[in-house]
Amino acid sequence: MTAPLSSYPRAAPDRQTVPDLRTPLDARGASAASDLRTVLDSRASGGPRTEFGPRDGFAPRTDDPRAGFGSRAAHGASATADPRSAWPPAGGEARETEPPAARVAGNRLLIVLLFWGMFATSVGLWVFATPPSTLSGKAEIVTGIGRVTGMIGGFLLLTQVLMMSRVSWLETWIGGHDLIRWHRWIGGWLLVSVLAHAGYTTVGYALTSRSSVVDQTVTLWTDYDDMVGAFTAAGIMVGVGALAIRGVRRRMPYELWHWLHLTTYAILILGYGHQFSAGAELSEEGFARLYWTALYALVISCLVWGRVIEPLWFNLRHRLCVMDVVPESDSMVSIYVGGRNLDRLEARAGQYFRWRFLGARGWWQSHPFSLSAAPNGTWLRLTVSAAGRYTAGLGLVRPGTRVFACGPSGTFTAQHRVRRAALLIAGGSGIAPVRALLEELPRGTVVVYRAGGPADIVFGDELRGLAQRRGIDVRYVLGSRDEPGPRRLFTPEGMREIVPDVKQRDVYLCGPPGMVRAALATLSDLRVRRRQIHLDPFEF
Amino acid sequence: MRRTSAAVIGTVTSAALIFAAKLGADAVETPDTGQTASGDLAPAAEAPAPASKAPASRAPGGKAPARRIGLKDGVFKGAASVNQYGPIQVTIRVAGGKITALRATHATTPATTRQVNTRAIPVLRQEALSAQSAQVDTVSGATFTSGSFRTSLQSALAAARR
Ligand SMILES: Cc1cc2nc3c(=O)[nH]c(=O)nc-3n(C[C@H](O)[C@H](O)[C@H](O)COP(=O)(O)OP(=O)(O)OC[C@H]3O[C@@H](n4cnc5c(N)ncnc54)[C@H](O)[C@@H]3O)c2cc1C
Repeated sequence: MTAPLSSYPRAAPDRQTVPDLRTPLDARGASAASDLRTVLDSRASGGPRTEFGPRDGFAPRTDDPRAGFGSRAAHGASATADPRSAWPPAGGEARETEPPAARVAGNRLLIVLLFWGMFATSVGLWVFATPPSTLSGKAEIVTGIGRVTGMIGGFLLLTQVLMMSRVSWLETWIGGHDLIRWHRWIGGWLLVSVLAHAGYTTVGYALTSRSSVVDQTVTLWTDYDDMVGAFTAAGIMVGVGALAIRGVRRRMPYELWHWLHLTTYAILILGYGHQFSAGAELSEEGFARLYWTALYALVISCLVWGRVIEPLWFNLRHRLCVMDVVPESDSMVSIYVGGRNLDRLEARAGQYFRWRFLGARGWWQSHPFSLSAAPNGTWLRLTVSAAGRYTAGLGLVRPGTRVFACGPSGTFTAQHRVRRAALLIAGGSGIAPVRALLEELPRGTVVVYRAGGPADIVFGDELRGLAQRRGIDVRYVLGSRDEPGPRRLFTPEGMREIVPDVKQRDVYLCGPPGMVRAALATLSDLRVRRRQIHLDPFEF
Repeated sequence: MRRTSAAVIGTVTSAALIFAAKLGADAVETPDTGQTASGDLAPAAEAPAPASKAPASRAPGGKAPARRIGLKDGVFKGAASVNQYGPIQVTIRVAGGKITALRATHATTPATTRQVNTRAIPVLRQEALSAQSAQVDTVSGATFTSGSFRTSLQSALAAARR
């Protein structure tokens, strides 16, 4: 690696071509780009007015002329148009009485209910087949615990695989981040129940046959079908569990960890046999066996669907390819991606895809990046900040590079609002999904953009344009964490000063972990309800 | 999906699954689900043994004259006899006053039990068929299985004499 991590090569692509490539047609068929430019030129007429003005340079509004911003217009970034500006039609949303989330609020509930229902059914297979009278002795009780933990472990294992299947309904109903969170949480319980299952069953059998635990273990290995596989599966699970400990995982390169983690699929195969050949509940014909087989069928088909069929279908339909690469700042670059049938792309602002740039360096890796502009039927845009080797190299991706994308994923969308109004807080590269979201949020939306200094601000012109056209109030809070402005932002008073009605708004947070933590603490002081807060952490 | 539809669909589906699990467990004849049958009750043209829920017998139509040991013709199921490794249940078919076929269901789990049972039961079955009675020797290493086998066979024979 020779390129410095923190900066992109300044050799920008030929700017002349940029506006042509990126000029979408809006609903009226006119060039939105020229529309926008007109608006930008005539913005003296004034943007949104608020009674609480900037104080001591704290959170100046977007129409505050600031040194450094204006010059960015010459960069060509202002050519980025806002084709959705007429959508949703002004006032269209206001007529609705219920918040947008009402239509999707049940998705997650359904999944949670089904999870617990199936969990109860799996335990029920054991409960209903085990009359209390059969649990008369110590051996029976120990074996009984072994069996029920086996049912739980078997069920949780299937849930774990399902959650990672990338199947689109899970990715858009729950979102990748919560899926990972649940996956981590259930993973711990899975490990506990599998170890309990192995331990209790071995001891229970040993008690029944009056042999030692060691002898019984040997017998299990030698005399029982599929038991070597089952023990191997448990071993892999322990290994992966150890690697998943935060401290260990942090020390490994992401890719290595990822590939090691994929060995967990072997658990599914190795653990399968013994469930049916030795499982008391499953070795006979009947509902139990039918149910268990159906669970496996469901999970495997979702896995194939989400990992193979959907990605292939998506990429064959859209055939994405890089159109342009534009530096936004010293450390951020926007990649414009074009393709076929993009008007039929079912993605929303605030969602992300997992991108793979074929033929570029690191083509074998796929990385998640949010859309930094709402899908407009003509191109997609992602905006990447140099966080490591891979992202630093993305500035060198050449136009024409084929792109393989999986998605969309995520619930960081306007559709998930439980209130009508919104406040967005962005820091660093977190501005990318926030910038896109602005196109789908109603007038009166407030954006707080946290950045180190004027040079770190990206999309300055676009934000100004959006502020003008969509009635959005953009506030900049610049400086390092310890400076008075940023410090004041994350106090209840500071927050209320910018957004007096913060409790009546949905809050969208995207930025560095420190900023998100500070914001969450402030919001909790302000008693903003948790379900009004939407996070888009850039880390899984 | 709206909250109410999700709540209804989720609850109904879950309840249906749990209910089905309960029904599925009840459909199994004997207390333990880990069951299998050894032996064959279906000689020649006869239908296989009916799956009757009651542990007692079921006398079919044929009324052959009682012979030496006074057994009626038909299929008779003995009461399940439970030992510490699970239940054994013997079903016999009597034709011409003789036991012509015998089947025993037994626990298949844990696997040690299955191994013992699958070894012992064919031996016990063969002995019972040749002795035409429940006087069968204990199979070594399968004391409990042998005991339960005798008990259940006795109850089946008792049903056949009734
Ligand atoms: C949902 C989501 C949306 C994101 N959107 C954006 C965006 O719009 N703009 C932006 O600049 N960044 C975004 N990121 C962050 C971006 O994906 C990472 O910065 C990038 O993958 C780092 O790769 P690297 O190899 O350059 O850095 P490294 O130094 O190798 O990794 C830095 C950290 O990034 C994470 N990471 C690395 N590789 C992957 C991978 N393949 N998949 C998932 N996580 C990985 C790991 O936690 C790692 O610790 C997003 C992340 C997520 C999870």
